[in-house]
Amino acid sequence: MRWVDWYGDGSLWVLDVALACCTLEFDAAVAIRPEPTAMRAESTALRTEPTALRPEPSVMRPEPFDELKTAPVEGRHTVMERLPALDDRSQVVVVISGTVTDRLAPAVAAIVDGCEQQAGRRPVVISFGACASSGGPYWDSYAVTKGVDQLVGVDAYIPGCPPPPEALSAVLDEIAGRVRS
Amino acid sequence: MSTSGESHRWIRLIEPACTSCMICARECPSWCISIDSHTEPVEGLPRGARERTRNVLDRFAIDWSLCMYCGICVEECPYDALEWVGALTEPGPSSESLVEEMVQAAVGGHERQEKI
Amino acid sequence: MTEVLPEDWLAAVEALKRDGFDYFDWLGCVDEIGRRECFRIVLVVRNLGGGAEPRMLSCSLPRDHPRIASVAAVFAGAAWHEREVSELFGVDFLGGERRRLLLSPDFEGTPLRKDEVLAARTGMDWPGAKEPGESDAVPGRRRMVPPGVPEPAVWGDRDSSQPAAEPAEVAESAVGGRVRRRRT
Repeated sequence: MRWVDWYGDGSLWVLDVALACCTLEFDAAVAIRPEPTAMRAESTALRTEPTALRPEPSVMRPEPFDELKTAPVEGRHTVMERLPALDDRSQVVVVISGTVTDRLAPAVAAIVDGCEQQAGRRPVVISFGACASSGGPYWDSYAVTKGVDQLVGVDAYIPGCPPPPEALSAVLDEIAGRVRS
Repeated sequence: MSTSGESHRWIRLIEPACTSCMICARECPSWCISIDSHTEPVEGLPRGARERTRNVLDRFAIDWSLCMYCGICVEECPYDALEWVGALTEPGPSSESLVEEMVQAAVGGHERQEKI
Repeated sequence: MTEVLPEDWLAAVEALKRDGFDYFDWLGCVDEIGRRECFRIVLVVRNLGGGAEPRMLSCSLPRDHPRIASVAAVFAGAAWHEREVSELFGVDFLGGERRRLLLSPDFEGTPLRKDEVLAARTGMDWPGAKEPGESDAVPGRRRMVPPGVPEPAVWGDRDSSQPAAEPAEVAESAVGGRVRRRRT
């Protein structure tokens, strides 16, 4: 898993826990981000001149990255990218996109835990889509956790099956205190 | 039926058309529709007429955290009391906040604002 | 579809592979409770180069002792399919791997058996159980059950002086079939 520098200036780092279909809408939300000059921060000026948006992490162009292993679950670690250096105003967001199966639940918890340890503070957790919010259409399955909030605290619940990408963009803009010009 | 641009985004109840028949709640695969109703006698019947009752809708709620936007409820309603609307369902800070109460009396009689 | 006896299963699969059907497609299981008291194991193999139709093998196993040879030594890819059938139906693949594939290590039950009731649907109040014009449960009144949950007379709430329902009755009632039970 790679971090997305959402606005291209290190102010908001977003990690997607890509579990099911909703992650495709996450990818779409990454792709439709406007160029940095189209955004302005409501509260404080941007820390540096916005650079071009960091190319979205892609499995088609694998590059080596600085790896961090989470705590093992069933003897296996999850590998995520190490967070680049943060400052006090950087925000860290973890998006859970998709169905949390009971088997994978401990690994999802380990990932959020790993993010918290790296960030030095609790990340903002977004439950993206019906499955992550409550189990969604699979609420009655023998193998599904009824919402990621059974494992970790959730700050924003986005309904949808899947939600459109702009639903995620709007919530991230709100978290970052930004408006689109 | 609404155009593809408007469907599968948010569902609205047309309250006067609802008869509390329960079909949408029974057909919903996610069990996300909750309905409460009671019966009342029909007024103003001619003298000597047999007493009749009607259903009065007390509560109609959709839990958007469960809804998968399949539209079965919209299609199955025999009275066309549910329709797609073009605005998006709002996100919220808790899963409880995603339960939308749609009966006007329950929300204080104010028309719920749709954000475009 | 060619029906094979359990004791001939491994040899039949090996023979197909020798005949050029060397691409393993899938292995699955059908619970035929209510029609026949068995699990039907189905396997499909293909001959990718030959242009022939895929071959389907089937084998019927008794529901109370479902045991069949593992074919993972013939087709390595069959191992995951066998592990999935094993954990979801409780079939024993002799000589095969017993590790869980998809279910949690502490999961109990064989959820794809048709007589196994989906617990979540029995535990939650079904919004559709209310009648039109009703808000609260009226005690003593017969409630509708949701799809997937057997009638109370058959499972769950049944009269304990009656004998327990047969698995086939539970399976039939769960899909809305009428099961004749004497009610006091």
